[in-house]
Amino acid sequence: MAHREVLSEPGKRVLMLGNVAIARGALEYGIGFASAYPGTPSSEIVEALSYAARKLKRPYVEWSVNEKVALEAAYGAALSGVASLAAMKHVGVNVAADPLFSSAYTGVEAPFVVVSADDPGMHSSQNEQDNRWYGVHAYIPVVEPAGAQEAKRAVIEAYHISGKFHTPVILRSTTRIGHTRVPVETGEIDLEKLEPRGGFRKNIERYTLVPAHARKLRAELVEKWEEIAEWFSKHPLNEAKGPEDSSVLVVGVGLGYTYAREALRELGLDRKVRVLKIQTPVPLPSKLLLREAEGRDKVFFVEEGEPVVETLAKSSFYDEGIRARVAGKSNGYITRVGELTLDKVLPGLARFLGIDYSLPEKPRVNLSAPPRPPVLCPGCPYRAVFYALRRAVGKARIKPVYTGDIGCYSLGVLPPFEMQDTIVEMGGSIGLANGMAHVAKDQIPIAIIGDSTFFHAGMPGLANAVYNKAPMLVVVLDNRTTAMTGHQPHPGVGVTAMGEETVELDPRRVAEAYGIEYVALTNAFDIKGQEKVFYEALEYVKKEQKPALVVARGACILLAIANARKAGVRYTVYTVDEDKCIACGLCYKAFNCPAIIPKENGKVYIDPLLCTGCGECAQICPVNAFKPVEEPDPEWIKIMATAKPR
Amino acid sequence: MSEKPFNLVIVGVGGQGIITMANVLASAAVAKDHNAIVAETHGLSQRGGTVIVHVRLGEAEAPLIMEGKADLLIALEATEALRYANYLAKGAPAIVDSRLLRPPLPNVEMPSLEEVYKALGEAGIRVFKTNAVEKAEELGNPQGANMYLLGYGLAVNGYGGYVDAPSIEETIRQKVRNPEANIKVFRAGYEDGLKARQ
Ligand SMILES: Cc1ncc(C[n+]2csc(CCOP(=O)(O)OP(=O)(O)O)c2C)c(N)n1
Ligand code: SF4
Ligand code: SF4
Repeated sequence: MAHREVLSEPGKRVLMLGNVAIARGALEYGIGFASAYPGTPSSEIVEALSYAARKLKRPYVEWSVNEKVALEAAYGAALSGVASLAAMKHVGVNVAADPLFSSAYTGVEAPFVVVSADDPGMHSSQNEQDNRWYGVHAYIPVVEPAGAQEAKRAVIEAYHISGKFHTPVILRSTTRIGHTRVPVETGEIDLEKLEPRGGFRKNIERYTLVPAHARKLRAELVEKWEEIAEWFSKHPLNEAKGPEDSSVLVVGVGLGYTYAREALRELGLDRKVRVLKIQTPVPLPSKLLLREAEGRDKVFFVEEGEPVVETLAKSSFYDEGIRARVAGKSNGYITRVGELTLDKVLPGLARFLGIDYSLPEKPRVNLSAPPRPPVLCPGCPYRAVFYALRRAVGKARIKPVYTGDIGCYSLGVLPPFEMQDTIVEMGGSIGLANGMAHVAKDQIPIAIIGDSTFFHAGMPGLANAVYNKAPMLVVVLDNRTTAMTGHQPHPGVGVTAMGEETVELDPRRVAEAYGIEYVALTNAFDIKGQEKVFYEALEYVKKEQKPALVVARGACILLAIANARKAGVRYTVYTVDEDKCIACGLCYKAFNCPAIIPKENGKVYIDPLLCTGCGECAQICPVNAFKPVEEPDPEWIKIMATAKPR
Repeated sequence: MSEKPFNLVIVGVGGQGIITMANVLASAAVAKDHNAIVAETHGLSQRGGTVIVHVRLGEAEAPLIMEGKADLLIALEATEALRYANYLAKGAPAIVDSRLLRPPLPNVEMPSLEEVYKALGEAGIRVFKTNAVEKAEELGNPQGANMYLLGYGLAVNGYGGYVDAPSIEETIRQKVRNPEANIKVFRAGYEDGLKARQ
């Protein structure tokens, strides 16, 4: 997506997504370099920057192969004197943790901000993880905007802090910051500052972390940490409001501030209680907190994620003999599970203050909605892959373990396929198979991994499988894009974030270079053809006890449609011959394209608004009841194999 | 806090144009110098999953609407109204479209449209029943159901007075593909909403 608002003219009030506001802030500050690996809820930051880079020919912007490389690349640019940004989702920081910790020791020449987009509530993630702890753990300051409305200012301040202390800074965002749209006042963008030109100056004692150097830097780091905490206690991003003599202090951290304010208003206390807004949680601005808590009876903390500031503040209060009662997430006044809502904050605050409060009355509806989990799109190539793979497994008479991975294909966990036995983290499909292959002796692991995930974290696992002779079938789902996160390009598709052509890395050639003997390519939309290849591959693994790899290539149908529209090519929808249909139910019990809709009599029809003309259903129907409304355009068939993001 | 916020939840299924709808409304409010906050659903749920977008106009600060506090609910798919009716404030209306989308899973129990409307009514909700898809199709714009409902909602309770028809139409002109066709369905929705309110 383009996110054109990022380049709105200065001096306007423009509605934009928090993530776009973050990108805008980085442009107004003047960064020369940005890198990211996509991940919800962070992707729109670098999408917006890539739009800007195509229009302005600067800054330099890339989709990196994974978060570790993204962080290293931006770190390298900052060491070379160019202000930089690296963006990733919360779990991406786990992948990038190694260089992150080192960056605190070496410090940076030019300002360097790492955006960590946390996902409390797990809207699109495998865990809830509060990355402000990384700041505490790695000695990296954290800035946390109080909502999308503060995001642009917070990024700019983060760059100033980084520049002042020559330290990397983590900008911690969350789903409800990045994916919330608010009016943003636009400032000037200075094109000169976006120029990605720098130079590396040798500084052996600082940039080579051999033990002798690192020991010195460690001492420096701890000292600097105190200085930053002092600075944060006076920083304008933090501010106290309300009566000085209030017996209660409510501390709102980041987005928590907005809920704190609304909760107080709801209780009629907004003018009666002192509120402290904290946007620089780490290192704890302890002087400020001590000053504000001194002499009060009660202190209540509202923060998104874990009780980070609350825990740090309690320890500080203890040291200074402040005896106020403290409550929040550390002692059950607000639940730690899920994202913040007023429904969670209000009762906790009321209970702590001894106020009678009951939640508003809500309508009670005595009928439940059907479950509606996300599903594979109509026409998704993966439906054909799963269908063919399951048949091949049956034919080869093996006991499979489908080690799954992270991407749209994770949705294969749902009925009717249920062909993702494990989903843990990116690269985990091949990773876990490496262990299973050696111990689950009468089963064969089938690692199912997307193309973007293969380049991200699949390759080391695959090298390991060859080296350690782990029998497994690896199926690489080459849908020409990183689909789940919004169709970004990756190293397999030959296009960069700046829209330039580049080499296409081919997973088959990687596998061959690693020494895998059985390597094959299939058309992901062709059910019979694939079934045959999968069967052969499984026979090979069974017999040779070695890894085999099959690349199933077929474009994400949404990408194919977008490419076709650009090229003026139309796809042909399918329809059902009522007279032929025998109401066997195979297509809605074992295949389940959302465009195929069962009727009362068990026969089906195809919703032409949903059908994307993939032609898969026509291959599974035992009586050939599905047919295209007209002969499909050969150009469309070609696009289904070769589409790519731009 | 001068302006009491107006809280709207728009619900439906990924791909129904809910984000565009919320954006047009919020941009129209911003164009009239009001504040707006729109909390969107991106990522995973866009693959045909359930979607809820929170729109707050006026001096709101937090992105999410509290349960029991929404002034209006608009459902682009009828059963989704069941899932999110708990956001409605006492006495607040719901606009529930007649569109029913069966989740593509084997053996799902799907309530009928009559059952949905009946259950919402029994919960004390004033329900406005619409046929946005048909109306939009009749006007030659099958993708325009969202704009129809945007117009309908304006007629039903005015979105707190933060926008009006001209500001929304101007925003459609600036932000939406095929603006004239969409303004047509928006107006049709507005007219039908006025009639239904009487
Ligand atoms: C470490 C980490 N980084 C990023 C993500 C976000 N993420 C989830 S799915 C996905 C896309 C994977 O793309 P691909 O493997 O090509 O599968 P597709 O979605 O195209 O089916 C990404 C990047 C994540 N879950 N974990
Ligand atoms: S977005 Fe693409 S890859 Fe993902 S489910 Fe839809 S068609 Fe399949
Ligand atoms: S061609 Fe068949 S399988 Fe493909 S989208 Fe249309 S109905 Fe679904």
